[in-house]
Amino acid sequence: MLDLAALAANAWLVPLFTALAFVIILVQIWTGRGGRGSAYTAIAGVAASGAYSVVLFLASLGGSAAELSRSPAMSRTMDWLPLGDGYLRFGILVDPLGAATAAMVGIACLMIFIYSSSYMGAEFERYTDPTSGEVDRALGRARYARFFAYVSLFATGMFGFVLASNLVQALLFWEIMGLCSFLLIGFWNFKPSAAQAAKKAFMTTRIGDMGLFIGIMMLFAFLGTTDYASLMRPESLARLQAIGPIDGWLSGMLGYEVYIPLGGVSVAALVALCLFGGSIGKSAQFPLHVWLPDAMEGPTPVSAMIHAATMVSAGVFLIARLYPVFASATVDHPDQISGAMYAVAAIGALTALLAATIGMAQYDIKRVLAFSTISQLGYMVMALGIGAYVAAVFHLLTHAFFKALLFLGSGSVIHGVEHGMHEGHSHGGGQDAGAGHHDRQSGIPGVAAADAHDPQDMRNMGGLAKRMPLTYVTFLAGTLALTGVPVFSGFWSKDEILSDAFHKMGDGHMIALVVWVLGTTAAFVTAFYMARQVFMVFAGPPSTDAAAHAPESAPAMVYPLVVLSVFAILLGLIGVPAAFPVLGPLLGGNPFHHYMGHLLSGGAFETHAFNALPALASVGAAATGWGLGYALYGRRPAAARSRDPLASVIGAPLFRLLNRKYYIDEIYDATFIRGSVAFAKLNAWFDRRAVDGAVNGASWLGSRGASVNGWIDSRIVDGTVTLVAMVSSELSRWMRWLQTGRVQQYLLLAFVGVLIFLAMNVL
Amino acid sequence: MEASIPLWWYLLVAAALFGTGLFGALSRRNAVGVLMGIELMLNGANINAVAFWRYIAVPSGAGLNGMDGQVFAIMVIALAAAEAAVGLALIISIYRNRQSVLVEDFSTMRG
Repeated sequence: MLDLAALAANAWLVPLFTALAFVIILVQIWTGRGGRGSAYTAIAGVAASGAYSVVLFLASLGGSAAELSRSPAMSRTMDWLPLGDGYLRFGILVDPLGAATAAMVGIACLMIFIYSSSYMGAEFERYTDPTSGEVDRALGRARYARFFAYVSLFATGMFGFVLASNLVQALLFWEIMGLCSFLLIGFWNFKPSAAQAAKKAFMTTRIGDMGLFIGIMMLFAFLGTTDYASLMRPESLARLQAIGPIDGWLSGMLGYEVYIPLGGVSVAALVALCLFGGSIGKSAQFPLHVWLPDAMEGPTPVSAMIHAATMVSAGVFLIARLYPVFASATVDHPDQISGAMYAVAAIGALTALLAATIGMAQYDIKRVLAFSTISQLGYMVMALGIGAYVAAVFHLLTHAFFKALLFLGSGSVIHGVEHGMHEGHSHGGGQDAGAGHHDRQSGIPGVAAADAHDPQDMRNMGGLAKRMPLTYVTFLAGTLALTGVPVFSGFWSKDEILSDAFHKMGDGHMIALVVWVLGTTAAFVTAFYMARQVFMVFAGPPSTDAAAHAPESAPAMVYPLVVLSVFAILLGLIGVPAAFPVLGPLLGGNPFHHYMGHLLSGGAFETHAFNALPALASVGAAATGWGLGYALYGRRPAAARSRDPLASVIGAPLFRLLNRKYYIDEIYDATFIRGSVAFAKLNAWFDRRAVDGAVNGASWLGSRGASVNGWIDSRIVDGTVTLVAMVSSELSRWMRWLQTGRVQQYLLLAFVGVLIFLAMNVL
Repeated sequence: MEASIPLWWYLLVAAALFGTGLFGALSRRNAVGVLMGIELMLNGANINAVAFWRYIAVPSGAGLNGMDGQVFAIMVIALAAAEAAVGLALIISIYRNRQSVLVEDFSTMRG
């Protein structure tokens, strides 16, 4: 039997393996040996980390989950930074949440690394210098190696974040992930759009990170610790609650009464909302979701790993990790859904629906998935907001697998279409070179036409089911999981969220009603846009030569898809509700629930009776979505690719609104970006006129003063010195004739002098 | 014995010696001559010292037991010998450098 305590105590090895891989690849790049070997190094590193985390997870299953979540032996810390009278500690915390997430990250990352070794390899075999247009194999190899250095560092960040024992350490790894995300989105940095997207992602998440940082500082200020274990203690939470509302706290600090807007919000809720700010940024929730679609500029495996499966769920993970802080963030009713959680639930539900509706009108295969990711993250966030903790974590895990699968599948499709384009070119040498490459109008005013050379535009695809059968089957498995078709993993997790919302609704929580209605609607929309995507990409006749010539991808790309699709199909079975007819008892009465539920208040986690209504409602929503998708796109897919039938149903203006993502980017551009540019210009003007003027004035004054000083110096001071020198020089000139150098004259003078003295003496 | 030769005889000889020496020291062009003049002046002073001791200090009883004047003279002789040695060494050294012993040639210290 595996010794859980020893395994947990050495869990720091998990991030270490990938960190080592990162260092080794850096050395390989520096010594000019980057290339295939770098990919193998990275795969070996993440395989070691993943194996360790999976073993750790399996060991933690051994009936000791309660022990795992409470026993201090399960964490190991060491002193890191001396702070006042204590130490900031650096360490490892292994609990069911961390172990399960680390195992998920390990498996998903390993699959993605293997996939990338082939995907990126093809990218760089014919790497051409963007300026000279020449094939540069050495640079291609180096960039290939650099990719694996980045992703290894990223995996280190994710493992470290998941297993961190305190918030400061978590923030450190969180920022490592942010850095890697930036580097990888902008990996094709010769493309201006990629550079722009990287910048946007970095700066947008930075806004949220500021909130997270403030939240951590407040926790430290109020409770004197950032250790999860200490933060989660009931007495710590009670102390946080005891501070009371903000205005009272401020009044107490300042010594006089203060009135501020929203002053009645408790300090605990403020802390929770600041921490939630970090999650909004990282998990791309509503006001800060704009970076994630643009992040699709990165290579597809990066989109799969960072912007779908792992990093973006870090924000959700953070809420889950600090769940007791959120749950206690109220003054009056500790048992109820707290004020902070209302905000969390509302943001999550809004995001889930908003992003899903945008996804309906996108043409870029990856952007559809990006909005789907935002929407699914919204599900997790809203689940945490209504207290459906286990359901949220469950959805986090299942979503990671099926979304990684979908993204990798889309990468495989893109790859195939790209190859098809090269094929089409070589075949069509004698014919009209432009055959099959004419740009087709979208048929909708204000919506961009399909660029015939864009391998990611779904309007250029079609018929790929026959060309890429394995990709098709696995993509379909991921789609069924995402849309919540029964038995597939997404069904169980999404259904658990919705049924928890339904039950909370029964307890009289209005927010749970909002969550349930928006969540179910989003489930319908999700099914619709995924059906649209599947039909546009795989069904019907191909709409371009490229799609017609697309080959199936290499085995290293396809087999990870197969492995991930196994998870996408079966993973949900660990969390089948105990009360579910037939399957529930058969599968051990929801083992995941028992495993994860221990984290909460001594394991006393409520399980409620199975209610068929929410499950039927979500299945009905999914079925309607699929049906509508089939009706619009499945019957005549070729026609649907030339003019979107959705535009006819909901009207071109509404379609355009969705296609342009509710103009949120434009609104941000018009307000925040232009606003800050204008403010910067104002500052620049102020700087040039006022600040520079003051500086110039000061320097003019200084120069005047200096010239006065200079006059005094040259005339009076120097004059005095010169006078002294002149006097002594004149005197010495006059004395010089005495100094003849003739010793006898000196003697004579001495003699005469003696005589004079004698004479004076006598007289 | 006491009154056979009066003191001023000695002083006269001493003054003559000193005068000769002074003249030599001031007028000789040869540096060796200058040195010799200085020796003469010193010896004139020696005679004075011994004479005054014998005629004034001994009769008054102050110097009967002491040998002040003689010790003075011996000290001056020893000093003169040392001075001559140093002076001659200087002259030799200068001669080696400039092939001259004429004092008017030794005027590099002229201001």
